[in-house]
Amino acid sequence: MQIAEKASVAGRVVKYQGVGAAVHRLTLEVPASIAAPDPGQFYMLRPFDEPLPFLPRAFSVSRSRLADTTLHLDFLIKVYGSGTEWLCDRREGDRVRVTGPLGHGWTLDSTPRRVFLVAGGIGLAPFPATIDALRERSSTVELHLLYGARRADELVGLDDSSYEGVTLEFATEDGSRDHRGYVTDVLAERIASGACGPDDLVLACGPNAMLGAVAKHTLPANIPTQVAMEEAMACGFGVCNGCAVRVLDSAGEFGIYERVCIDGPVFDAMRVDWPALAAIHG
Amino acid sequence: MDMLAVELGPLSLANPILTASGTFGGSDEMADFFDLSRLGAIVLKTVTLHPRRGNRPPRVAETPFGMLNSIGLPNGGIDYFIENQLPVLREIPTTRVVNVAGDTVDQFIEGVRRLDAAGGMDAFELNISCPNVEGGRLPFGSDPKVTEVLVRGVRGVTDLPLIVKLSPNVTDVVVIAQAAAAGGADVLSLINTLLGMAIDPRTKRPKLGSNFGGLSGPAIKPVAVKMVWEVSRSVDLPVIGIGGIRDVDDVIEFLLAGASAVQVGTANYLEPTVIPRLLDELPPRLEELGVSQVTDLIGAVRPFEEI
Ligand SMILES: Cc1cc2nc3c(=O)[nH]c(=O)nc-3n(C[C@H](O)[C@H](O)[C@H](O)COP(=O)(O)OP(=O)(O)OC[C@H]3O[C@@H](n4cnc5c(N)ncnc54)[C@H](O)[C@@H]3O)c2cc1C
Ligand SMILES: Cc1cc2nc3c(=O)[nH]c(=O)nc-3n(C[C@H](O)[C@H](O)[C@H](O)COP(=O)(O)O)c2cc1C
Ligand code: FES
Repeated sequence: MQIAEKASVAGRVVKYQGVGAAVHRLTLEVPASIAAPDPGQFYMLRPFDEPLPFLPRAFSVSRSRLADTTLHLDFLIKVYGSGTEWLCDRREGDRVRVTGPLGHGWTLDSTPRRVFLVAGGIGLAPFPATIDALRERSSTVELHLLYGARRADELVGLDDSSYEGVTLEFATEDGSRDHRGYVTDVLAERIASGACGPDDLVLACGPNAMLGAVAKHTLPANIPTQVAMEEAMACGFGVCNGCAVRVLDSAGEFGIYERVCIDGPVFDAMRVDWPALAAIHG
Repeated sequence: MDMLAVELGPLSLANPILTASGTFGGSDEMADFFDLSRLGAIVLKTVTLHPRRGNRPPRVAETPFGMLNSIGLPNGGIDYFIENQLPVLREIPTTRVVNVAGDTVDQFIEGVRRLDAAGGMDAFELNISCPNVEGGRLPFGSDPKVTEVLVRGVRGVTDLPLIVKLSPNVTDVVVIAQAAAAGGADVLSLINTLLGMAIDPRTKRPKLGSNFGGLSGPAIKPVAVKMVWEVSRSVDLPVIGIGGIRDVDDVIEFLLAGASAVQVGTANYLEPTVIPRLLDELPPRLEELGVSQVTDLIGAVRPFEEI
């Protein structure tokens, strides 16, 4: 069978499940003639034959499985506006336009002893496949998930076998579970105590402001850090130039733009122009 | 003759469906999605003489039945294009159109001269209408005199067909179309994006980093159809219709209004395989309408008369 690197097809909803706090797990079935995604890659989703919501929306894939001649893609989606509302209204059998897999996922070629996964809210989405891939590369890797949300009841999505054996630590803004404050405070504590250092790896996914806070703590401590970024997108596959993020050029100067959809969504935190990002979203 | 074949002045195309600049990449980026030889023509993203970084994000925002963009023509410059993108473009087996812009008339002329010398394209499209160029100065395409001088200057450095792409952000598009014709254009394409703005009520911030930008998608289609109708009746050049095309009847609407071909833009983002779908749907739709040649539809609108 010829495997397409990416494609745009009608996906069928095979499973739909609310997991609480307006978060839904959606499994879409696409032909197995399309490449399986790497951890950290994403898909663009929109209605297959309805005019609205207009633009496709980007979603990280949580995990994928081959099932005969089809590929099952799991997504974790939080209702935010019209596009996510439409997706979370789907039921078994409904059709969704699925375009992907897209972008560059995590770079996992060196296997550190310890990996800290840092998730802000729905930023948890890509981690099941990421954890599986890390364990495939090393049976002894020590995994820590630092997961932050506003309140305890928003800490959803952990009912997944991949999280078994992962050390879980939580932060809530209202203090309703574990640390009161930001998940990046917990990371900062680990760095200060030496529990997370330059031989470890930090993989972070969440709002850009959280990613900036991660980088603020990890970069001065020389901890390798990869961040999965978000930017407004129109296409998702590199042709509109909409999803620009300011990064270091090859000479080490800030000021060039790369595309989150094709050069990312995962970037080495060292390359991102964090002050520009804060100004742009301020 | 194949029922979909059309003539665009000096260009003979296998079918009337082209890509719109800036929505299909800078060479063969879309080849994963479908066989690019099916395209009537490929029109690439605007290139400029000097490299451009593009505008401050956010650069895109959804609006009712459309989107706003302020991309700012990022590209590596014409020398980079010739070295890196042109070799890939040469291998795409369809009519190849390179879209060019510049900050000055001389930059347009020098850009086209270098591209023409490099060879490998079948036509040029001049983007005289982009509303996003840095500095906030008026676009070339809003002044008939500048338009004519610009087109005549470029005409002097290439024998390839010249498509001039018009802006809708003018008082009378026909005046600009006539100026482009007087300067030596072979084909007119319209419309580029309509200027627009959207504001987030929560943050009081514009939704685009450049504060305003260009509107595209189905929201602009009626404006585009009307301009194509006016221009094709008043100027003796073939016209390419652009604006909000997503379905086969949108294609037919533009042809009826007077377009000889169309470009599909924003719809590529929603449905990367929209062009092959339109090409599959067009022949049966023509049959349903009792039309044997797509060319029979060009300008065949039956406008109402005064009673
Ligand atoms: C690479 C990537 C991966 C993502 N993965 C997930 C995921 O796994 N699960 C999940 O729930 N969400 C994810 N998101 C965020 C998701 O794309 C947005 O929540 C969604 O686009 C919001 O659409 P809406 O119509 O509900 O909101 P609206 O506010 O109505 O959307 C309006 C426009 O803004 C854009 N937009 C709004 N929020 C975002 C955002 N955070 N990032 C980028 N564009 C945005 C929309 O795409 C749309 O074009 C991801 C975003 C990116 C860029
Ligand atoms: C994101 C985006 C980028 C564009 N970039 C260019 C460009 O580089 N050069 C150009 O001539 N037109 C550009 N356009 C305009 C389109 O080619 C087209 O004229 C316009 O979008 C209307 O068609 P549509 O409604 O089918 O998109 C761009 C449009 C969009 C949406
Ligand atoms: S979203 Fe279109 S280039 Fe990235």
